[in-house]
Amino acid sequence: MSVRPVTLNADGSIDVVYDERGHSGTVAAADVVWGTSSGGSADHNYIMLECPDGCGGASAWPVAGGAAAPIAQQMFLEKVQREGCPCGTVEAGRSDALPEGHVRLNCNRMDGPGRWQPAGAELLREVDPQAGKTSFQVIYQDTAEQMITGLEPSGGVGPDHKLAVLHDPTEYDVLMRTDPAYLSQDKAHILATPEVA
Amino acid sequence: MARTNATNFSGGLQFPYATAANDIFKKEDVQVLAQAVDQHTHAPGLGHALAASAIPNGTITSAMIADGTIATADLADGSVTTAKHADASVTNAKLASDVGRANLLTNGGFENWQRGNGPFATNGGFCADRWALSIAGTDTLSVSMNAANWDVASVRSAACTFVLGSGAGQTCLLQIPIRTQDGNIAVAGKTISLSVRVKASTANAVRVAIFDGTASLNTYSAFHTGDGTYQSLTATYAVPSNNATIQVVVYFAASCTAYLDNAMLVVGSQPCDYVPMHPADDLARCLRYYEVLGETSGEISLTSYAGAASAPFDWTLPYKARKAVTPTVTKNGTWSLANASQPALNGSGVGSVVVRVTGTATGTVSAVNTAAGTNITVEANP
Repeated sequence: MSVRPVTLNADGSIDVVYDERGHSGTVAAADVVWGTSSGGSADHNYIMLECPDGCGGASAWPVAGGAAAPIAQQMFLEKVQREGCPCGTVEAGRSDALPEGHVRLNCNRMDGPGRWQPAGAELLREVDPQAGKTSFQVIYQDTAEQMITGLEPSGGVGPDHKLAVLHDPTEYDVLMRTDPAYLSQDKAHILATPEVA
Repeated sequence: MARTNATNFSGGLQFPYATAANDIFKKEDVQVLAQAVDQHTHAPGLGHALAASAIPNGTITSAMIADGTIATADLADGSVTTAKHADASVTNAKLASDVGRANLLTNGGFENWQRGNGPFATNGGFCADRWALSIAGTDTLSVSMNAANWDVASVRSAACTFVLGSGAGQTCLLQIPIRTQDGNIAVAGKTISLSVRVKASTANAVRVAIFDGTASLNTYSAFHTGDGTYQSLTATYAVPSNNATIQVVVYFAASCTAYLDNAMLVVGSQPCDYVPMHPADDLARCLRYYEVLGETSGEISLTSYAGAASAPFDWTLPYKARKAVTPTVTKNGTWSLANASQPALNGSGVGSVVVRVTGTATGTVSAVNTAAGTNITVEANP
């Protein structure tokens, strides 16, 4: 197993278990850090957890969940809610549905639709034509560029963002492989470059 | 002797005949006899019953036999040949458990223990490859590799020491069999059958089930009887087409020590006895979900030359097998260094991980997994 989160505490610290070594303990909130991109900036796709035992063990957790998807995705969600996202699209302390929509988008971009299952929620497929579900919802910034920042929010996303429903399942696939992605002016297509009116 | 009547004809056809020389002769005797001969069929009252010896061999055709009347007892054992079966006519329901079929489980034989031999006792953790512990309430469950109490066609089993607390029979060892890349269970719409070999000395302590996570529904086997021998516990379930989560589960309902071995999950309504795999194939399945890079000391040597301090060096380490999802990657232990930081993990994909070593001074920079337990583990659990 990995240096695995088992309890996400209210103060941002995380209780972890390192099964193979029989280690366990609490990682302080300050030590729950984002991964580092090759360019040296913080990477919102990874969180690093070091074994509090000091044995040298350290796990890189992907936003899609890796070895323990439900709690790992919840770990990303709570960190983004508390501290904001290092990519700059979500501010710290945001309590609306934007953080969840953003982490969900990052999750599915990494591992595909149906991977989002925070805190043990049943697997959710955003688009499932066979089941008659052909539309999906995106969150986009209310600016001229209309950058897409999230997916399928569970509530309101604040005055600085808007929602759009796309009815073409193929646009979902485009969204999954396009980062950053922008909403077309007719709000029907996913674009790799902004279509400023 | 007096005149007498025919015994194999009755009614109007029961002709009389003389039996002595001085018996009278009536012309009606011949008339009735002629009618009897004319209407003779061997039916009751119409002549002597037909003996088997009166039928020539090889003369009764299929048309003489009423459809659907030949009983199993009329067939000689071992007499039905393949040629007598219509092509594509033997259904799964006709198969015995010893007819080998493809196993949908990974590490069904509990042969692979890449994480070590245990004991493993943490809720949510894994023990043997792909087998996870789910511990309810105040129950405890400890699972170890066991090389003494295995079933046939196997060299290892999972020894499970269970102590019942408040779990009420919900503590279990489980495996999510197979899921497609987009999250759908790959057996949706199929009938599947599970068989697990279980050895226990406590009655009503262990049973297996197929759990439908979408419907939150268990289909259970019977409990192990507790006779101390290996028994096959089986369950069959028709998976709905909209199902997204199926789990194969071994439930513990009473304190006991139980040994689990040789689990099979097959498509079809009939459970199947364990079919051992070639060790290479068995391990290959496991590697899709977990692997260790640097199993041998010194196997990973990250070495370069730093022209200045703080120079970062990245190495891309390919996995042995593509992972089912983007994995959690763990750097284990404290590596041997020269002018370098401990290796840091700089992102991973389903096929490789990028490891960064930062030089601490000008000169040769190296990080090597020399010490015991220094390696990189890669774990993907869809």
